[in-house]
Amino acid sequence: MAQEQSALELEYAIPPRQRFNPLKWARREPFGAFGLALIIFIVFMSAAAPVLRTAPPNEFAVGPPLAGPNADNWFGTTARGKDVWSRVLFAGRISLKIGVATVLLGTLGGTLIALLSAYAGGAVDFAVGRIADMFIAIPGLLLALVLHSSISADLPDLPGLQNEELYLVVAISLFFMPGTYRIMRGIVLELRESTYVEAAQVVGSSNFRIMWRHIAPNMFGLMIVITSISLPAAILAEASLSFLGLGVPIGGLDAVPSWGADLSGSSRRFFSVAPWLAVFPGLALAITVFGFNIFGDSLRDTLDPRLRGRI
Amino acid sequence: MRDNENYWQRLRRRPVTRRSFLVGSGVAAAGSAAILAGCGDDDDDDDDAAAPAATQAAAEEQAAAATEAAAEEQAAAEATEAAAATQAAAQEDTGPDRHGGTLLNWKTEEDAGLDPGVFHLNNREIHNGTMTQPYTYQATKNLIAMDGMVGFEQVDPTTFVWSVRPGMKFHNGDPVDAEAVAFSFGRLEKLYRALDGTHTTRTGYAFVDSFDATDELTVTESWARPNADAPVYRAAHYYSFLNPRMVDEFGKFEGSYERPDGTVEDVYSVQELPAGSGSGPYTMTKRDSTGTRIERWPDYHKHTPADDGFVEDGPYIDSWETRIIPDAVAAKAAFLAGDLDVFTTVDPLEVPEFEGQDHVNIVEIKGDGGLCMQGMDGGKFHDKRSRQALQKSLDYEGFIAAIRPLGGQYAAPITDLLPAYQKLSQQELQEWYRFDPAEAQALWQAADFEVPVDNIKIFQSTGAPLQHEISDYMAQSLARALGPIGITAEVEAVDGNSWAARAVDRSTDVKDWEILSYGTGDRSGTDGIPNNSFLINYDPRAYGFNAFNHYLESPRPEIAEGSATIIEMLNAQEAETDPEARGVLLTELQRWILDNHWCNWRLPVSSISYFGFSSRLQDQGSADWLNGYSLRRESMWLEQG
Repeated sequence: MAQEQSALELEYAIPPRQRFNPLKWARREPFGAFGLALIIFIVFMSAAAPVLRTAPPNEFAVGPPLAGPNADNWFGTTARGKDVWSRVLFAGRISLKIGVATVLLGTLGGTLIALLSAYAGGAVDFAVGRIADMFIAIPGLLLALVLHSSISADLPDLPGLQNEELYLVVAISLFFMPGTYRIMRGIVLELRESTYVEAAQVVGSSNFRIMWRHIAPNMFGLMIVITSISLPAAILAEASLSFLGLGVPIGGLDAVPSWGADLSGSSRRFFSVAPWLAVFPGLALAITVFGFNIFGDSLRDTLDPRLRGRI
Repeated sequence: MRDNENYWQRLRRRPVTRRSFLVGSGVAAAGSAAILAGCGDDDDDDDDAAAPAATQAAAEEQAAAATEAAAEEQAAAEATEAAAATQAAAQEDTGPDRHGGTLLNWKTEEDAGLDPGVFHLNNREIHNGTMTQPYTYQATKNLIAMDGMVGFEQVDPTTFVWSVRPGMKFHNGDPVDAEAVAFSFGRLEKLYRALDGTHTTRTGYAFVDSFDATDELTVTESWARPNADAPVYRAAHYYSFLNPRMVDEFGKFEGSYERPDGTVEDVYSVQELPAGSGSGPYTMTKRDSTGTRIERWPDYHKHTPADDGFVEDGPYIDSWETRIIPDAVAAKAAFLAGDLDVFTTVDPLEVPEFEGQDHVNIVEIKGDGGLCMQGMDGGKFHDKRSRQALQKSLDYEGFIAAIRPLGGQYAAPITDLLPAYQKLSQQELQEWYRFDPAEAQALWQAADFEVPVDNIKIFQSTGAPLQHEISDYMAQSLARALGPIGITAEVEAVDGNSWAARAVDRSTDVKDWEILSYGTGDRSGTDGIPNNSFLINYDPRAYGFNAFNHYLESPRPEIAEGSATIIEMLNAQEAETDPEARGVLLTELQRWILDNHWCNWRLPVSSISYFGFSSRLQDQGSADWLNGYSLRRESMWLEQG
């Protein structure tokens, strides 16, 4: 009897948690590691922009207009003599800032709403679901345009997030939140019916405790996957809005360059005579999005092996 | 079985993973970027390119010399001689091969209505093509070319008599007579009053007591006071002849107008411009969200004798197709592809892109770059020292280096294209346009502010990319100059409609911006009237009132006082019909504006403008293209094949 029990214990014993070995992971997920390296590179370049720049990014006439890449202006200059290298470096800051803030707000918000509404069920779940449907039905850019003309001037300046930046975060988050909610709601509905949740209910756990201790931890893996997939899309959304002139402030000493804005505006007129105006901001944007995409893909494979290899 | 599979079969069976897709896409994107980078302009210009460049340079020199010479000619007799000579040359060159073709034009937006007495946005091609105006006036040649009129006479300082061209008909067959012309001219004031403002320049008719038909083909204007610009004003497209019967039948009630005798008259507009409204060489055959089309009207009257820009048997070109292309970059691509005949927004820096293209013709015009204004809110900057502080806060030389890298010049309140009226030299202008941060700070600190200003918001529309650069430079320069005393500067850009609404919002004594930025100063053009080029922007009865809070009834005493002074000066110069004496008055007026830094701030403008025309478009009248008279130029023709 004791032997049988010990055999069963061995069979069903929880294996000891293995320490995460980054090198091992990198060998198993070389593309993910490459993506992570790209992200680290972009983050480093953006963070070190004040040191690495060759001129203030908004300074006019630091070189001749439309000068090609040269020893003084590594990525060339704009039509007004601004240094493209410095602008590309600084623009990474806004892309990463808006991207991360948006994804945090969108994913966390969507997850929280899904958790509360799906667990509550009934009329609450129905109402929230219809509101989400409504937001999904509105094209993202149209929603951003409406928000820009209706709320952008009224938003406050937060520490580290000016009102125009906050507008971008809100506008892009509102675009991502309903999608996140939809996915997460399905998970919550599945988990709500699981035996361990039933067991927790039987022993008298409060709803808050069940949600917080038993359901939320099981949503974490998928949340990370959604985050990693949403981040590049959020960066692209910021670039698109800036391209349309709805992004960060465009003028003044404190104006922040944006890859999207630099790909639009007066630059577009000169792309054929000065291709560096398109190539370098475009390449920086592409590398960032590519890095986050392949890293997110590997992360998803690592955290959820069932999805491995599926597109 | 599987052993027999070849490589391609195995590849086909291999599932496409998200990762492989991303890797493939990344490689493709990088490859495309590399190819794009390699496809820049090749500098291996051959010798053939030099020849047209030299020809163009010679032509430009000739044009500049001709312009300068013509500008000095003020006498009407000389203008008539020039017109006769041009006409003779035109008749000599006339040949049957000039007839036909469709001119391909573009505009950025749909019109907001077609009544010539109401709006002037994006509808000029319809007014100039389908309607008849009294005449055209080419300011650069000081040349009047008769259109719907055959003559005029100033009988005395306050009476002006018109002779209407006989034999003209509206498109529905109704005759164009003096009654119709007097009706068309007289309704402008009524519409202005009924609508509480229109796009017509009121200073062009505010001095008129009445327009009367004194016989079938004679219209008499009676004025309350002399006006030196009256004849030039009448060349504007809003003096188009409009069929009164169409207004009776299809007009929309716009409001009431109280006549001087106290009686009230209902006022109607025809924003749809029904067929039969005009008497011009074309009729409108299309008007939708993609653009407009006008086609030759076969019963168009003859111009005998035909003045410069006109031909006896109507326009050479059969039709005009005007596409709506909101984006100038897309329009440039269409122009380069040969899908447009006109592209008037060429940036000097992009000229190399057009070189060596046989099918396009880039015309360089030296001179004033046009409007590049920074309007100041008189509700906040009521003390002239605060405005002068702004005047001393811009690094003008830096601005020219950055924004006008291929040539810039200081700009007076009146355009340089009117040398008879704008006599201030570049050296003189630099006395006012001087960058001096220390003086700016002292002036700002000494100034009174009814409403405290610690942040200067430069407010602009998102429309023109160059506008962003101008505002950005302004904000940086102001922040640097006034930053040490705690003043910051920023730029706010909104869509055009929101911008316009907030620009003229008068719900409070102050605006929700400090500086209104408008105009890019990169294209020149003038209709010959100092008021339109650009005194209207300083006028407390016009834009000074509704956009910049500089007006006679201002609650700020300094602004009210200044308004009274400038109105008196504006009236005095307008009533002075001797060009020499008027030139002196206008110089004094400009000095006053610059001394007080009144209302608007004209930044340095481009000293060279470029216009693009297709090589097949001939006699396009490029120097006067921007004032709109070329839209009326019937002698333009298209080389076939």
